[in-house]
Amino acid sequence: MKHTLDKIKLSLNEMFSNSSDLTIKDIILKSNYKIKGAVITIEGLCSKDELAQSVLNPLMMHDFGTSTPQAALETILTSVSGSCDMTRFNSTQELIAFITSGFAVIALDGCDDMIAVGVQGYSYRSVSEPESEVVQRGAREGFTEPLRVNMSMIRRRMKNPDLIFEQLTVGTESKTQIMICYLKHCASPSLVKKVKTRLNECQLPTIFASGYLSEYLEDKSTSRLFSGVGISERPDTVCGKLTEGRIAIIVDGTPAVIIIPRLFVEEFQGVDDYSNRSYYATLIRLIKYLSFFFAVFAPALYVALAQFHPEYIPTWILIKTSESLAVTPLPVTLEVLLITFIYEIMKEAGLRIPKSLGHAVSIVGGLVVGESAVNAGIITASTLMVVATAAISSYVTSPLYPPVTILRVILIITAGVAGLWGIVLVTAVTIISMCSKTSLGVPYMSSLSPFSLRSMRDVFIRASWKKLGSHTIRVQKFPETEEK
Amino acid sequence: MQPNIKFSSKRLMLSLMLCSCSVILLQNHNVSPKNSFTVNLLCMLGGLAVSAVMFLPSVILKKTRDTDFLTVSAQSTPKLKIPLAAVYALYFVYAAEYFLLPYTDLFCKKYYPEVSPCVIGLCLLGACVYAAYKGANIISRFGLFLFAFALLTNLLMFGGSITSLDFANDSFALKADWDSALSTVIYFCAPSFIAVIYACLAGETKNFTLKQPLFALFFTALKYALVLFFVSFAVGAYAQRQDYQSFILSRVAHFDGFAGIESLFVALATMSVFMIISLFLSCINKSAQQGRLKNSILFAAIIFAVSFIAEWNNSVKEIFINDYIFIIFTAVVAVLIPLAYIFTGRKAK
Amino acid sequence: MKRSIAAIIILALMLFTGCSSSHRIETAAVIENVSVARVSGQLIYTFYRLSSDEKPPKTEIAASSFEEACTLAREKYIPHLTLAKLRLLLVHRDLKDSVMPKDISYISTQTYFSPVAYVALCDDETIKKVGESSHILNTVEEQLKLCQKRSPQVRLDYLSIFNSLQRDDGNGVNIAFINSDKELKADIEKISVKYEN
Repeated sequence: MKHTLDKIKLSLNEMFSNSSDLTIKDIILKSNYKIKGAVITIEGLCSKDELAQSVLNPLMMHDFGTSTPQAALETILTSVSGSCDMTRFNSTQELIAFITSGFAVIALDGCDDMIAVGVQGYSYRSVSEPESEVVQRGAREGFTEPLRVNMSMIRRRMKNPDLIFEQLTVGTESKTQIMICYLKHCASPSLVKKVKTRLNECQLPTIFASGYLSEYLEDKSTSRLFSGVGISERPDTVCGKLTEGRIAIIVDGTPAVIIIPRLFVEEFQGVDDYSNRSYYATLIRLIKYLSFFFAVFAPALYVALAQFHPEYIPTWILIKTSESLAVTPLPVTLEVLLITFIYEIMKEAGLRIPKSLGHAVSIVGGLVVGESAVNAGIITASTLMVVATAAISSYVTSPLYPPVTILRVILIITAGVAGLWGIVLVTAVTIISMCSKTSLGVPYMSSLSPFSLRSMRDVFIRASWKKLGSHTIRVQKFPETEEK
Repeated sequence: MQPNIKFSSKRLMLSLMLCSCSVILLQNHNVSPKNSFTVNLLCMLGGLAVSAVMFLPSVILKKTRDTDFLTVSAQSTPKLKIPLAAVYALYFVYAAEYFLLPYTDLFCKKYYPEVSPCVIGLCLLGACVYAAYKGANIISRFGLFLFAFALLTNLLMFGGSITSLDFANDSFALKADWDSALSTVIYFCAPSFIAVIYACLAGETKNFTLKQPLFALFFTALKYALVLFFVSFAVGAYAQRQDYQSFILSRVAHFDGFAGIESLFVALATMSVFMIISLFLSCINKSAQQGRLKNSILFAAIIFAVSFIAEWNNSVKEIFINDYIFIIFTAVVAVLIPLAYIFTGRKAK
Repeated sequence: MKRSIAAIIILALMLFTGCSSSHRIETAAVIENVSVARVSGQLIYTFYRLSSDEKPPKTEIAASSFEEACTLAREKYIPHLTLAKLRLLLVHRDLKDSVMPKDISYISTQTYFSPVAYVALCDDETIKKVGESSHILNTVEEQLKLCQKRSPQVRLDYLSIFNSLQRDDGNGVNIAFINSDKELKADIEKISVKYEN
């Protein structure tokens, strides 16, 4: 396709509808033929200093002599600009992709090809510790929004030529760049192919967060309650997962990196487990499992015992609980559900409330719900304690918070209708559902069921590093993994 | 779902072992009080020996051809596929009633009298349909969790009954009422139903060894022996005053102030019956081979309808919980029909 | 969609067919202790409810047997009666041959009684003390345990009493007797009456 400078400028202005941030600087190169050119940028995405230093000044200073536009372009590519991030291209789509990614594009009149020079200078959040994955002894670095920064953080930790980054573009409108990242000798080629196929199936107009892609990456016809796609904001976590044959997907514009496949037992593993001593890490691991069971089952068991089987409650608790429940107007099932929903409302409000108002609202919430409601006899202290402790326990394994909350509500309703028997039946159905779930063909409950004795050294306990290091786990080697 | 993946034969055997262990959870005056513990133990060993024999045809097929009876029959006699599927479906419906009726009876009499047994049956069957739709592989994965829970419940039940053990002078004597000894032996042949399940599902498994069914029956015998022991010596004559002697054992178990093991017992019985009926529905799906969900719903509806009739008509109920009919039917589908195929197959060669 | 409809149908069925009639903790009348004595020629069964009060609320029912007393209690006096947490059955010493075997026979046929709940004989003063303070129950239980440590052949709960009486060859069965001469203490008394099956 023949480009003339005027055609390029015209088509760009049409496409961008004369947008005020599209900047086209006309230049004339110092040569016998007075070659016309243009430097095209999007204001705000480029660093002005870098633009001047790497592009404009060198272009203005250099004498191109008797070069034709094509020869001049070749000279710019090899001898003029000091930037090492330069790409030659010739299509309009690539032109738009480059200038919207912060590149400066040099176009010469009479030359089909153009050059994109990396002069990005947009503002972004500096590297800081991720708030959702705070650790005691690990690194304090977390991913940020720009894709390249995140890639560099992974590359810095994995100085291995087998670390592969493959770029894709998703989002029909947003044209968001994503990187599929894996270790060539660890990841199964069939898994990588599956991931690419599923990402290509995504026809969403915009991708602004990793969560948009999660649903496309999940295996079809499997339980949606638990997620087979993991998210992490920590480069050390991602690097650790890559060595197990998993695939990471970095999405431009979000610090949350997708890791797939994701297994149930991983929700209880944390970075600190591997930094601390093994016996302490084992204790914390067991506490996490107990907290999970408490968070899911405690309110439902409380309802079932209070509603159907008071004879199982120890006598010293039974007296106090029955007397306090006798004066409250609501049945215990409704009371537990009410407190659960009030807690969720307070949690959501706490996330969005301005910091200046946070203290006042937390005092009101604590006093109103905690003390006044109990004193007024609207709710009982024992119910409040059970629900609050269960809610706090669910944060011990925070990635599981959404399914734990849903399960908790389902079990409370079931317990209110059918007692302990209802809890047993729903638990059986939930286990069946979890056992049938797969993540990229790997059974979600791997290590537990299908059982793998070797993997047990890092499930309920955290064995010493000597034992862990003697055998590397590869997700595609788990029993009953679908290869195709 | 992973319908085409072969799973470990060990895991299937573990699930079948759990199913066979649940037979004694639903024991209701099936073990004669006139026999001493030693005689009941011998009857139990006799019954399980018969169950081991019933395993032989399906084990032979698995060992020689690495497949199950249903696949062999479909390949060698395609014209008999539908009649055979009907016979096996009928067996599985009967077997499902054999477990479902005592379970709902136990639940409503001993645990929660105010609820209707039909509702319990309906909800349980709904859950079983879901599990059967997922397939035998997934049900066997559930079996691993059930195994852990069963271990805990049994430890609590037996451990909590130790303080109640009371041995009389002639506790271990050979004292028997020989008429009831035969019915006790027949009762302990009930675990042979796992041989029928294995005959249908063996083709979906891999890494089979001969030790597996032997271990399954061995651990079943161990569980039965422990239950017989504790019922005889911890519960004693008290056991004959009420129905469902294993439930009474769980009532007796206690640790100082902590009681309530019967809720764990009912949970174990619920999950065991859930797994048994789910496996039955899976086997029906295997023989039908298409429309898993529709099949499961259809047969669950049939099972529910029969149990509903049985609740209102005692004579129908008696037919479905008759040990003799169950064992004869099991012998036909586990031994006679598969042996016929094995011998005619050899003749053809 | 289909799953949701199936779940709603099952939930509705469960709600309307008896599952929701529950033994709610706040309305359940949990009975901790029952005593039986003869007053003015009549057998009086006294049901003591679980309560945080110093003096436990009690209901006295005149009946000829424990079975009749339980039935009358449920129908007329204590609608939400729960006997599953019954810890102690106190039978007056004078009734050890006439009433106790019949009552234990009834208890052995009912699921909701815990087989390991205590049974003991007692005198008038003990019954009076039990009615005055709910803490006396703990004292009685401690004494029963001490008695068993001293004399392992004593039978304290329904289960062991029933089994022992079944095996009794005329020598009798040792039962605890709560004596309140000076302070509450458990002695041993023999009964040798077989159950009616």
